[in-house]
Amino acid sequence: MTNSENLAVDGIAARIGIPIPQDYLPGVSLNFARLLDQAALVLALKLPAAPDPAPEFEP
Amino acid sequence: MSDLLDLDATSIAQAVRQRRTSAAAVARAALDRIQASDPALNCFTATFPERALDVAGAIDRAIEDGLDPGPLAGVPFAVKNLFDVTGVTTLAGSKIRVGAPPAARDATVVARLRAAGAVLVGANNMDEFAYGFTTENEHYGASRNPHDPARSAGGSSGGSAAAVAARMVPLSLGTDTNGSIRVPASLCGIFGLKPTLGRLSRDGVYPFVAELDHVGLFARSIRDLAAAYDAMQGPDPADRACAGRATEPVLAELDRPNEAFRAGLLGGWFRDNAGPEAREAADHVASLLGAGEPVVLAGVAEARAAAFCLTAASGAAFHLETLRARPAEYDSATRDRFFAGALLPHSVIRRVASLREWFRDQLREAFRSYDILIGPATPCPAPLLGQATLMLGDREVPLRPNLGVFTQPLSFIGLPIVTVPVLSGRALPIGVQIIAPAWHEATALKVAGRLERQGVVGYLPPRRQLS
Repeated sequence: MTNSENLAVDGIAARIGIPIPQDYLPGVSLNFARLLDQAALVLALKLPAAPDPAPEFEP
Repeated sequence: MSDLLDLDATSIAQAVRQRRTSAAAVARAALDRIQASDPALNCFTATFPERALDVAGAIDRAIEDGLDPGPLAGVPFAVKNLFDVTGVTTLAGSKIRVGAPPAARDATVVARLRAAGAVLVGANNMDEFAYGFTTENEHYGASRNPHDPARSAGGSSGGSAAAVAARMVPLSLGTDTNGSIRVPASLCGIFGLKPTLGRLSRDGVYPFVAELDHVGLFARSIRDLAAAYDAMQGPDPADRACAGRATEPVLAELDRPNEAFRAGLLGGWFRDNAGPEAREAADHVASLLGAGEPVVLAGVAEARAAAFCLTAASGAAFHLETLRARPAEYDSATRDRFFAGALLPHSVIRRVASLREWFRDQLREAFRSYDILIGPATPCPAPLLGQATLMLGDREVPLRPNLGVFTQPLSFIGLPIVTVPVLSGRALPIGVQIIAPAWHEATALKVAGRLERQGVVGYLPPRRQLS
């Protein structure tokens, strides 16, 4: 992770009240980047128009 | 007498009930084997010798008195250390919970196995808070694979799986949120059952991801899986997430004449990311079941991604206060992922919920044409402990998040799955998933039982002598 990416994660976390100790920042940033890659896949999928998901999931 | 432990649970229970041996002798044999073998494998974080011998003695006295000791009479079993056991602190693989008060009562499924006559002998090592696929735990060490102790037992229920594969116990309980029963079952060469989401009670089970956590089990034969599953089924008022469905016993169904099943082999994601051993194993099982052209589902990569996001966000939400207060006490791999999950926008999680229903509907549609679907359980056999990467197709990717690429999309929608060890003659085992529609555990178990009778799948003891 670049220093600026670490700083971005640090900034977001601090703003929402989850301060991340500096020693952990590289590992958290790496995992956040992996998570965002997966989130991008989730958001990119075009789903058919449907009502909001039910509050209880039925397999 | 330790040869008894080479038998499966059903044979042990028969021997105890028929007084060919005693429950006490079996419990002693299990405890002796754990003492001898566990230093090399690190499957157990605790054993309960006094309690186990007391319970076993009571079973023997009940049999002498002509009472029914239950279908699992005298069968030693172990549980992943996130199941509550009366008087024992539930660690869930963590150091943080070392000072937590001991459990006041057994988890419902533990109590039900005990009521069926099984004898709890110990608690198993796991990834911290069940967040992992390799059981490489910074606090308690790695659980090692009985087929090659330099390799991973899989995770997060790695201790439970390795204990069964090494014949320390014939039966153990685990949990599966993203693959934590199916991955270790595959890597350790044993049978694993992850029932439908909501089938088995989670009362007294330390949570990881409320939306995805399943209770399940490991054994060395299908009849053992069925017997223990039958003993644990049924509604539980103590768990709101447990379905109110009546018990649907499977064991008696296994011996019925072969029914015709329509089997489909999963292609696409499940083929493109599989290594040669995994592909060969799935193909072999599929061809014997008469599967035709591969079934390519839409949205598998996205479903897997959604499970990945939901796991991080939901796990983080549950741990947030402790994470803020005591971050240094977490396993570093767990801590970093929970912190990351806490930062994920809710817009993603909202989409995850919609995607989950859409993907479930894709599978419901597929099951109009098939009774079961077949797919690899892991992309490769057991990796070395500490191994950093694996190959998914022609891509080299980090190993620890990716061992569950084939399990994660399916637990996301809660389907019942039996993992079966395919007999291949290779040094390291590998498993295949037999996937059924929701609430059709019996179908998956019957198909697995047929394959076992045909000699296609089954348990093979590790070639290395561990004790």
